[in-house]
Amino acid sequence: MSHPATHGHSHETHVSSSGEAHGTFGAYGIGFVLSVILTVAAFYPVMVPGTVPQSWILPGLTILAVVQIMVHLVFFLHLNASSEQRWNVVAFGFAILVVFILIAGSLWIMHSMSEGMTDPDVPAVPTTGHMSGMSGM
Amino acid sequence: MDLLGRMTWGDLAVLESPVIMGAGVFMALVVVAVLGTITYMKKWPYLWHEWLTSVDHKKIGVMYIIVALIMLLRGFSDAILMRTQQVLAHDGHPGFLPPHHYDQIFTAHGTIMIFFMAMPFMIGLMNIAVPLQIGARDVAFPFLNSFSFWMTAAGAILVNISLVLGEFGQTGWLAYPPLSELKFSPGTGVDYYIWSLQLTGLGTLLTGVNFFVTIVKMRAPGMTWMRMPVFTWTILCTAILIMAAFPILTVTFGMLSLDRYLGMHWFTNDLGGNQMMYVNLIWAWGHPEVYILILPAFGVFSEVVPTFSGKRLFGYNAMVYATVCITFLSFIVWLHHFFTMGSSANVNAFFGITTMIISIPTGVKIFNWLFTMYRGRIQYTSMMLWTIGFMVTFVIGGMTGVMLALPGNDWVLHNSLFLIAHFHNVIIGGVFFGYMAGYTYWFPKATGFKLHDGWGKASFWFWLTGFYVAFMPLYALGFMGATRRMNHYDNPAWTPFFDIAAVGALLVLCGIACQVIGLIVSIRQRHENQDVTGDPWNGRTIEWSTSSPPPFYNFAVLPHVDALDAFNETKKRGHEARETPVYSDIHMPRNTPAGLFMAVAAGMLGFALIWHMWWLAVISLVAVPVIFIVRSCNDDIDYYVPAAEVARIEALHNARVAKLEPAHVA
Repeated sequence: MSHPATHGHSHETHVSSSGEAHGTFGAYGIGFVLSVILTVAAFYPVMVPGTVPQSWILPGLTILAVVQIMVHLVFFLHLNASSEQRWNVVAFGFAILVVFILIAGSLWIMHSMSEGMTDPDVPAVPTTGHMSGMSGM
Repeated sequence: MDLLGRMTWGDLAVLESPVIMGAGVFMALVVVAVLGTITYMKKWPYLWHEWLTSVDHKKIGVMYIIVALIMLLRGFSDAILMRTQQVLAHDGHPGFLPPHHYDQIFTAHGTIMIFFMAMPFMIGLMNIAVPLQIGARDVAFPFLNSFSFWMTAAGAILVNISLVLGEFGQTGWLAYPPLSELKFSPGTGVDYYIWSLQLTGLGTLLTGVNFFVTIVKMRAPGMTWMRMPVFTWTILCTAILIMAAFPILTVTFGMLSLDRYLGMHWFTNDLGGNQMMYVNLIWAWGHPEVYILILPAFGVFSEVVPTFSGKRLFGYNAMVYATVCITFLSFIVWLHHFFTMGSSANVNAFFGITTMIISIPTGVKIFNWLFTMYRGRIQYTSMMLWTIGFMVTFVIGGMTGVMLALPGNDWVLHNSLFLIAHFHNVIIGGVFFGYMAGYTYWFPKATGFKLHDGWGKASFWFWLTGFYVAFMPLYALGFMGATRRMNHYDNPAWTPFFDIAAVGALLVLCGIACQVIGLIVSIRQRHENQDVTGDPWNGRTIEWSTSSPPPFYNFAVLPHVDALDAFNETKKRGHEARETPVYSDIHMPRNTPAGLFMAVAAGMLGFALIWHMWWLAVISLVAVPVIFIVRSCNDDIDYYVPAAEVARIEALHNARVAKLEPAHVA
């Protein structure tokens, strides 16, 4: 009797149920190389000024971060469109939705608040050397 | 004294005032008495092997509910202190609680009632009922379940230690900065608050994962989504809410900790910090939390009403869809907790409207229960009384909630006692009444004997009347301008209302006394109230098809579910179960103390961080993963119960039922 309660990795009776896909060595290797490239691509322009125009850095980092997440999901967490993975994809989609609600909602709320509560003649942050606006999320 | 971090003799709070001294001495006496009794009766081995190291969901559920009931007493004694203070402290009299203590008491009351009473109660009920309702032998991750419980227990112990050693937060139950920042709360109070909630929050998150996987993966053959009992549906949605919301809580407290421990400025007034972001984040957790508490209560009512009306639930599909709608909507209403913080009218209007929309699926549910009762053969047991009391009380609380959902109204009523009356109206009248109904309903399933119904009814009537007498005056006081968390006041017109509210608290005290007496009486009369068949209420779902208490493997043969209310269908067809069942070996998890040890280490980590005992913090921080790794290297974590043993246990049960049968027929 296969019982998921026992994390039966060590048992020959272990039946791989959905959601327990295990990747190959090659897939992990590709994932590792990709994530190293993406990490270097994120750090290099910041640590070596002048590589790319200053205005590209923030959107660039955002895009690289999202791609990095996707690489991890596909190569390390084995998320794909096959039917065994449907539950994981649904769960992931729901998580994305909640994260979107939280981030978009927080930005909207905090932006509206700082517009309504800040005197335009007084800088939002009294000290110099810090990014103005809301606290970093 | 470096070994003790920042702890000094002066931190022994018991020396501070007679009230705390009394509470501390009383607590110490109870602990000594309990430990002494266990030692005297030589019950330590039994306790260790059968309970403390158990991974059996039924026993873990019972332990959760024991924690909840103990913390109910603690939280309620805070309530009595607050009511007494507000009766005494007016027109120049300072009362008997200085602000320093009073502020700790209302903070502890809220924190304890939500995190250490309501949450463990809910998780206890779902531990006991859900695997049985879906025909599973345990939860998906039994060891994780044990760890989750002990993390909650460790958090509860930390809260209680703060009573005698140091202080508790004086910030209100959500610890808004900047008051909760180091600059304004330099003591240990906020740290006790943070670390006890981090521990129990992690336990809750893991429970959410555990039950989500359990319900998705381990339903009995034939139990499709739309054949699941409604309580299981509500727990599925609760698990989803927990998984989505509790990480927000963990991160928010983590950021506050970074401010307090490493001098960062997430939420400080200066250097770019923004305390409003804390309020925003904590309520992004806090509103789903409200539904994490109430959805299981709705689930309980959806089991109790059909059972005691002798009818199937009216509008099962509507009930399921309403639950799912509430689950989603609960993520887009959080700003209604801070309408007054200064967002634009557009933002307030959006969240006001979503808040009003969420009352619609809730209203659907109320009508479903009413139509289930309509023309039913209703038995007015204490569970049914809790349910009817809920429906009346919760509708009132819901209406005052819709009043508060109008941003304009909210600007008048925010932080007034009207708000306090509103949320006690839904939490006592909804959550607590629901959990009491569930506690009474599944008590025989967990223990093998029924609770005394007379004491249950007495408890209900005291709670119901006590609630109205205690909180209706608070609605009026809110309109009269009384704010929450007042240590004293000097408006003579308010005094009569506070006096009446205190009488209400005394009535609730009688209700709690009836609960305690009822439990003791039921244990003493357990042989008269024994539930031999396993089906004391003529239940409809499959948890009633096994014995009470169920054998540790729950079901000798996994049930096959071919309809909604599967057990009721089986009974209608006559007991085909009489055919000789074919038993096979059953695969079960072994008990383990690893969860307990890890939680003890985590609790020590919390304690060390509160008192800045860095050496202990490092040791316990290392200990948690080390214990986990040691446990992971152990391959001997499961075993098979031989079919012959299953047959022996089932034969004993069948013999007991058979003995009862002639009496049953007569």
